[in-house]
Order: sequence, then C-alpha cells, then structure tokens
Amino acid sequence: MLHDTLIAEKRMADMKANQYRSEGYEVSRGEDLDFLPGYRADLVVRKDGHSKVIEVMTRTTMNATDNIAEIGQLVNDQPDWSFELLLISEPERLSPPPGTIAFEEDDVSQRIDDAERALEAGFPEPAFLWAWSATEAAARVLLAARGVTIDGITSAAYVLNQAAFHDAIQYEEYERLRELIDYRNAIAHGFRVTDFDNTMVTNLIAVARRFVATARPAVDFIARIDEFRTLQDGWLMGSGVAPDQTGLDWLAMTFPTFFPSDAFLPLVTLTPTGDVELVWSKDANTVSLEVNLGRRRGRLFTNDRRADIVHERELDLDSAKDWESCSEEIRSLVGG
Amino acid sequence: MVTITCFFNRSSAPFDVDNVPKRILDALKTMIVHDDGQVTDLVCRKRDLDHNLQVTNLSQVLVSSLALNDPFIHIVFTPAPYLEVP
Repeated sequence: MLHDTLIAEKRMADMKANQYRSEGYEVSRGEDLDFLPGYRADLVVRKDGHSKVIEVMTRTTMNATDNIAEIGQLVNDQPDWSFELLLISEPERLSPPPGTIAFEEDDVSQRIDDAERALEAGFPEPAFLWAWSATEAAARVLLAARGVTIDGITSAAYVLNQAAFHDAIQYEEYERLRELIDYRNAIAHGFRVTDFDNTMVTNLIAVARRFVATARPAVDFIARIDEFRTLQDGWLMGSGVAPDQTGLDWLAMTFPTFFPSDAFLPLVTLTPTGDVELVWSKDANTVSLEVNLGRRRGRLFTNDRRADIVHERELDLDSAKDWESCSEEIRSLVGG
Repeated sequence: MVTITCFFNRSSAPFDVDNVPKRILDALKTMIVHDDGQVTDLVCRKRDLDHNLQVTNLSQVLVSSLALNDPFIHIVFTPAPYLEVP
C-alpha cells in the first residue's frame, strides 16, 4: 500500500529531475553519498563542477525524519556541494473528532441505502449529502483497492483528484462529480439551491453503488458481466455507452478459460465507451486490461508505482497466445 | 544584514510585506541590536505554507517550525555585504 504523500513526493522528484535535465544538468536518483554513509539522496544534480542534493519531502515525511537539518548542514559543508529541501504542500487534513473511523464497504452500502430512503421519504437534500458521503468514502475504498491510501479527512476535491489520477474513476465521472461539489458545498453550508433536483441525487446514488461494486474483485466474473448487460445508453450520469451484448457473451466465455476462478481475480468496470476494464493490484503494482468488446482487442497497462515504470501494449484477444502471455505477465506482477 | 521571512497559511490575516520590517526591527531593539539604525541591509519575504517551498539554508529551528505548519516568522542575522551596491 502506498500513501498518497509518497506518491506526491515521487511525482515532484520526477518533475524536478526532468526540469534539471532540460537545463543541462546531470541528474541521478537515489544516490549514495560517500561523506554521508547510510543516506540516499532523492536527487543529485551536477553542472560545472557543482553538485546539489535535493530532498523532496512533505510535512508528513519531514515530521518522521529527525536529522534532515543535520544532513543539509553536512552537505553544505562539503566544497562545491549544496543542499536544497523541496517541501511540497499537502492537502488540508481536518482534525477528526475522537472516535472517527473510515468507512468500510458495508458502511458505504448502508449510507447509500439511507440516502435512498431519505429520497423516497421526500428529503432530497439530506439524501444528496448522504449520497455524497457514500460516494467520497467509496472513492477512498476504490483507491485502497488500487494500493493507495489517503489518511484523515481531506477535501472532497482532493479525494476525487486522487481517484482520477490513479484511474480509480472514469474521467467523465470525475468531471460530473466535480460539478456536484458546488451543490454539496452550498447545501452543507446552509444555502438554498434553486436548480437542485432529485435526478442529481439518483445519479449520485448510482455512482456510489457503482464505486462499491467496482471496489470488490469479481468473485463471480460472469455475474459481474451480467450486471453490465442491464445497462442502457446514458448509464453514466446521462452519458455512457451501453456495452455490446455479443461482446459481453464472448468475454464471459473467454476470460474464465485463461483466468480460472481460483486465480487472483480483477476489479471489473465498464468504461464510458462501453468497453470493459479489468484491474489487478498488489502492493505498488497495478495492471489494467482494457477490452474493446467490438474489435476484440486489448490494451494492457502495467504500472510499477515504486519504480515508476509504466508499460503499455496491444493485444489481439482473438488469439489464445496473446491471452496466455497477458495472463502470465499479470501473474508475474501481481501474483495469482 | 537582516533577512525576515513571514510564513503564513490560509488561516492568517492578509498582510503587506512592506509593513512587516519596521515592527520587527523595533521589537528586536535592545534584544539583538542596540539600535535598529545599525542595520544596513534588509530583505523581507512572505511565503505561503500551503504552497511548495524551496529551502536552502536549513537549520533545526527552521525544520521544527516548518513541520508544525503554523504561521511563524524566521529572522536571520548575517554580516552585511561590505559596501556592496547591487
């Protein structure tokens, strides 16, 4: 499991490395320094005989490190060396009252049921807030299923940004949810919203239900595919293409041949274009297979977040050979 | 030479950087300098704790203050650059 702050540090280190390279610096990552045994520098950049150590940290990491000032001093004391700390901002984490516990999947489902009951009873605004609460919690559960954790209470926008960045939610869903944040804020902070209606609540409930369903690995792959058969055009908050039924039949028949039920099963989602995405995740490794149902082609993405290595390749899913190689690659990366 | 950095965050009241030095130098009178007229060079900055920060001269007191994420003022006294006119 990777903490969101570690991912932020890594992204910033990548960005800085690229920036220094473009300015003609020689850049090395994770370098051991002779004069500081046991310390590995995030970045060392060199040019014209001068070396600079750059340490990238969030406050969370800095609080857990007790000797960063000393390291900085030791580096600065070396001739032709300098030290720079890049302290990167973190989302505001609100102080939770005592006894605050993050939702588990069952809690999310319970809150969705509560939202539905409130809507049926004629209370759309409380229903909307409950549905939002369930959606945000479900997004965190989805992220956790992809090996990313967010600690504490952060802003709704931050949770959605992280979910979109790690491909835990579709971009179309992300955009619509971002629009709904304004409604959520207005209602929660005591404003009347004149163009608010029940459709927003039912859409949000549908999103939360889909997130929860997506967060579970497909214990029964066929049952999950059967859920997709019921979806019509517009299933994704008004957009979203219904999946090709013949393609679903083909996938339901083919997939279990190469991924037997005792194998490590994926999260299964439908994309806005009506294709199926399968995601396997373990520790910092994520593999996703996008299956184009009509063309029977696949795109396999492998992402090792710790090493920051991403690979992508096309598959012909009418070919048993491509299915087998894909299955082998997935097993080698995420087990099963 | 005095370098003053005011670290603020979203909870801080807005302020103009040019209003800061006089009050600080007055407050330091007799504690650090006998007379603020002794100060020949002055740099004053404001930095947002909610943004990324690039820190080069890292002391333990600065690390401890940054770790808390509360507004604070960091003051550094260094020998003034002799007769330098940039």
